[in-house]
Amino acid sequence: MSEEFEDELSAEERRALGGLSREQTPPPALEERVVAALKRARLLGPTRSVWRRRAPRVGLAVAASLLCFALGALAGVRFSRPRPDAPEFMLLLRSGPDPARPDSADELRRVGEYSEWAGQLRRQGVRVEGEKLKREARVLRGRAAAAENPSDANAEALAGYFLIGARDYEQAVKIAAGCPHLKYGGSVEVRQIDY
Amino acid sequence: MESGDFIDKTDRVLVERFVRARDEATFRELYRRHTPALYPLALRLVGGSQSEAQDAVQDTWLRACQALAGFEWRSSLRTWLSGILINRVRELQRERGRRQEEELPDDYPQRAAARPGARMDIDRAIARLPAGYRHVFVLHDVEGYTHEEISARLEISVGTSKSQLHHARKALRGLFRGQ
Repeated sequence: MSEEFEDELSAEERRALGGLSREQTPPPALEERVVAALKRARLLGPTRSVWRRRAPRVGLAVAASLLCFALGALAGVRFSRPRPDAPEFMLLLRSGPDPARPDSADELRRVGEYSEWAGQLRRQGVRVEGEKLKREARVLRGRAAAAENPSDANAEALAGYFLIGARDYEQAVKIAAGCPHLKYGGSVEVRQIDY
Repeated sequence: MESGDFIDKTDRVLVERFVRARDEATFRELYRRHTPALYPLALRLVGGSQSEAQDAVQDTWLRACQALAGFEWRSSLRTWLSGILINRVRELQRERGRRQEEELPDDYPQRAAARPGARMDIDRAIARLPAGYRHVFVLHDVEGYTHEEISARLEISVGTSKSQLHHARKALRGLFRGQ
């Protein structure tokens, strides 16, 4: 055998390698497993955001926390959803100057990328949930009627959020630094949930 | 690899339908067209572990379904899926702390053939190569990638690809001569 890297396969070796199967029936259970995983990730069925679906619960919880914080401030009572064992941080994602067009292929691709990032964190043992937000918004201030779409005039519209578990700010910021939102010119604000 | 590719019209129709409807039936068609090729590739790349190969195939489809809407058909769907699979195998092996040996152990032929009474077949021998050698060998000698394609896909230099292929072939030849 030559020590040169350009050693060639003999005819017999080529035949042997050519005889290897390039196609093989996968285990039947794998198809069901993959379909189930796609359903869990909301990648099958009616087209919806592919960010994790637990968001309604989180969204309600956050909304409830904010409401009860206000009420608690009046009544001297503090209230929130059940306190987790470890600190939690909100990553507030604000759009940059060039957000993807709603429902465009680019947006879908980006959302898939964000979902994949969250999936990687989960596989590393990080607790993470999140959701993309529609651009449409209503804002209430005092007794004024709800204003529509104030975000349109805001270059840094709130585009989505993640709720993550982290030991401290340092770890939360380190996790946030990997969020794909940053490479698209958006900002990520890290705020600890105040239990 | 790319030179032999062609864009299968059936794939294009299925992908367009899937992106539009995200329906299970269309996904199953895509799955059944391509998984019989992805699965043995995954098995060879991970070194024969069925559970790791299945994880890699599952994650490949998850990623593919997230990104299909942006797929630009610069390669065949099969090549694109294979690329996702290769990346995922490497990530999974890093996540699981698999040591990416760069050198063969001195007793490679003995260790590789250690299963008593088992005649060595090519796949079993490939599975016992260190991961770096195995990936290059499978992609070049089994799947037909060029060194340039392997260099880009595995993020190694062309020289490293050639060197690892050389060592992988040498190791396998030694193994079969010794059995």
